[in-house]
Amino acid sequence: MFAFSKDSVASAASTILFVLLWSSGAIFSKWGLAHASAFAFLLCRFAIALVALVLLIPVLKLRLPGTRQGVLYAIATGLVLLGAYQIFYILALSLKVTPGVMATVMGVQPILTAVLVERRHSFTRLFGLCLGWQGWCWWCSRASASPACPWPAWPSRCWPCSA
Amino acid sequence: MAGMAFALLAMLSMTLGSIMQKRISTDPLGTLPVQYAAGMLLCALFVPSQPFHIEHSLSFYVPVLYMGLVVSVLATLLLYRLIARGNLVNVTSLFYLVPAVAAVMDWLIFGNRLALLSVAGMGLIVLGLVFVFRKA
Repeated sequence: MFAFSKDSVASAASTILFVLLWSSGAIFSKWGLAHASAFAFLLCRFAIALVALVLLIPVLKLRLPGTRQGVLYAIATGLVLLGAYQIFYILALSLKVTPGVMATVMGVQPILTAVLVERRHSFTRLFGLCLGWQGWCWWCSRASASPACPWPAWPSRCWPCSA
Repeated sequence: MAGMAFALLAMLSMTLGSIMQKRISTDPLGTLPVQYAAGMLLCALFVPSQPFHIEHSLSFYVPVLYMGLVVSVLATLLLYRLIARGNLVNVTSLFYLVPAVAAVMDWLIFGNRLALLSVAGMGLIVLGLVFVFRKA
């Protein structure tokens, strides 16, 4: 039934571990952002990640891009996926975009990805994505409106902005 | 309104960035140190014009170390491996699960209760993902 069922158990385990770790980021972000400005927190986080990754290169036998083109492409990807995304996100929040609007906009991403990269548009998949988006918007608007919201001080943590 | 434009740009950066990452076929994980160096420089460019303060307490150091090591390194390495090996739409749709899982963790760890309607929203997300992940 699920696309990853044919893959090894290890693949399913790493998917579950990824979702758990990424989700735990929401709680730690909220905690940390109460004690630092958003850009200070982000800069320290990037610096820690960079130092750790450099130390991990020999341990994980990571192979850095070997060609000039590969390096440039990696820089471009880092600027867009790690840098621009986080920076635009922080700037939007600083201009008082409401958490519900922010979550609704960010939730379009999987649907836009499907439209852009999948040549054969499966109705079932797009329907499933729209259901997910709807549940997501519903969930986020309820959560941030409710006193039980886990993100009262930083409600936009709804989106996995921990990326 | 500028705020809305930034929200759209954040969404487009995430979408374009993950498509770019998917196109890296040789040693996708090895590009991560280079990517963080680039992302950090971009962030540093904004620092002079933005509020910048840090509380020197455990309440800053514990979360920033957790986010830097566990989320930015470990979880991101897992994400890049999932992107490299799997279907990009399936991987990005996993993000719909994140707020729900975070809230369940919050409930288990801190005892903050979940609203009934939030639970219904979660149900809809899970149902949607069943359709997304179902084999064609």
